[in-house]
Amino acid sequence: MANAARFQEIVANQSPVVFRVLARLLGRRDNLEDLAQEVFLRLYRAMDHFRGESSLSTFLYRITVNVAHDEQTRINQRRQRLTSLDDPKSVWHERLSGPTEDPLDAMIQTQFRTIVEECLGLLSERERACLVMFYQEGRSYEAIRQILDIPVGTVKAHLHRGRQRLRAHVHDRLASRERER
Amino acid sequence: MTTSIDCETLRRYRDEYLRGDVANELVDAHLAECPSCLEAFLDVTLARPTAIAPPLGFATRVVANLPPEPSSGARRVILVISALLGVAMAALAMTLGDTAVNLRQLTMPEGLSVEAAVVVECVLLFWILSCRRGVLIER
Repeated sequence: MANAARFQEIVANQSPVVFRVLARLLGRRDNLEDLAQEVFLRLYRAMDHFRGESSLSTFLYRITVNVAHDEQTRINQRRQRLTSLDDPKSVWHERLSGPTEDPLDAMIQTQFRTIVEECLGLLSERERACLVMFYQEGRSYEAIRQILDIPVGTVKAHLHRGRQRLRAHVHDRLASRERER
Repeated sequence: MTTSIDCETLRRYRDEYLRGDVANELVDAHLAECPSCLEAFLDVTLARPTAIAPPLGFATRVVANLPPEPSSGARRVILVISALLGVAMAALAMTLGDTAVNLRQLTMPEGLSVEAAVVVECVLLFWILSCRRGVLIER
């Protein structure tokens, strides 16, 4: 892709999609800029292979899902390296949690949407990606098949199972809050 | 059954509740006990995009951080060098004659002539040197 101005236009048009998909797949809204930059860098490198808006859009979703997957893998690896509370070698005060939550954060935590987003994080990566692509992004089964490179039947199965598990997690969360009250 | 809010009322205030304007314990209680309302709220919540916007100047920063493309002059030099290398290899193969044939017989599949092998090598060399981007789908 020789035309930087044209690419900048693509970035400007597509970046809201990339940010919102990354946010939902990773369940966070901060520190997403580096990841979004990575998405567009990968897109740029492969730009010459793409013609037409629909394949570009599908490809962009695919890169975004892959970048989110790589980030999730890094997070999981970091988590595994963290010292457990049972580890006698670590210093006890380093294991304590930080200051209490911001009251505003605590209030936001009570919202249904936040519960749903937290529960999305309890699903498998594939289930989460299918739900985000289908419900939030309005992609068809066929488009999701292309994005995730899995058969349509598997897409449907992930959607069905993911939806069931999400409902169960949200229900449990609401019910436990009710019990606490 | 402790629900004291009906489905119709709940769905009337759905948007306010989902925006967080109404932190209503009754709504939570109803959702915990009413599968159809929970389904309806889930549908709306999942379909509603996460409210996040790219930071200001993001597109400009992305373009500024892109790797530089080789200029057309540099590209021409690469093409000339690769072509010269190809010709040099072909000439070397012809000059060495039997030695080259013996060497090639050790490495090339049977039935492939020296000339064909040289052509294949030249094409491969040209392709490798002139390719800027070789990855179709990156992970």
